[in-house]
Amino acid sequence: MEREPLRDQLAACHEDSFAWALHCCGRDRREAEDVLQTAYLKILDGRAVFEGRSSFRTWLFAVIRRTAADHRRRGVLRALRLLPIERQPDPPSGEPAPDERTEAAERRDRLTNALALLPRRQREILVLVFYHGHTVDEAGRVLGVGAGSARTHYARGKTRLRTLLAGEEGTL
Amino acid sequence: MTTDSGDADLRRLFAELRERDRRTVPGFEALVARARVRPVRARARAPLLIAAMAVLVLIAGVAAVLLLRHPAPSVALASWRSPTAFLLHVPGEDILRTVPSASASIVRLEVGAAAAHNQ
Repeated sequence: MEREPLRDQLAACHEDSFAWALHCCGRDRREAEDVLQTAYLKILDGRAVFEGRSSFRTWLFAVIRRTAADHRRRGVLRALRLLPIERQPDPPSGEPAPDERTEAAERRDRLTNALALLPRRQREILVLVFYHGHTVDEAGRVLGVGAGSARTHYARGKTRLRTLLAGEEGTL
Repeated sequence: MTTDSGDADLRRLFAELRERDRRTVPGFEALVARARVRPVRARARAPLLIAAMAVLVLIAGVAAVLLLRHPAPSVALASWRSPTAFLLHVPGEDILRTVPSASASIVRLEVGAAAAHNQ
């Protein structure tokens, strides 16, 4: 794929890509930006090549997911001081002011807290389906699992998420 | 398979989350530009790991040299004796090693001394 159309495609998917990176990084914004930068460089430098076996978006999400997994592994090595800790300037914060505690903000926090308690695969499937609008089968392709496994993770994740949300509401 | 019609509540929650996240997305060009000026880390520098491996190699080398210079004495297996073998010898074990014959007796009587005693 030519570099300019590739860059344009990445730019077109950027909003969704950032949101997916955010979920792959436990909603750590700095880490999500780092992961997304690494993924973009991999693609633009030709180290990750789209071969057309799925949609571009599905492939891009899979690259981001693998990059986030690599980043987590390197994070373990950094924590053991076996790799240098690279100091990056703080990214500009786009977070709303801390005193904006609306009901919607409360619901969002409940959802993110509940998602954080799910097993990784279940969380990722639900985010891909409900947040990004993928079908369950497409979500399975992003995660590199079969359709049957994807549906199992989806069903169990949904049940578990409802239970967690119901429990959160009971404590409010 | 997409979301079921009964998942409206979950769809609403995720839609709210998506709406909030949209407001905080960093610019694409700025993100790529920052990535280009990031310090190059093509090869992971692991000074502690390298130092630890060097120490292990050194220890292994020293151990190999010592073993080659002072090999452990070889002991012929057949001539080896356990240091606690003496504990296996019990008093009177000679009796256990011999088979008595029917004509022999461990009791030896002096005939003349027995007759004198009876008188």
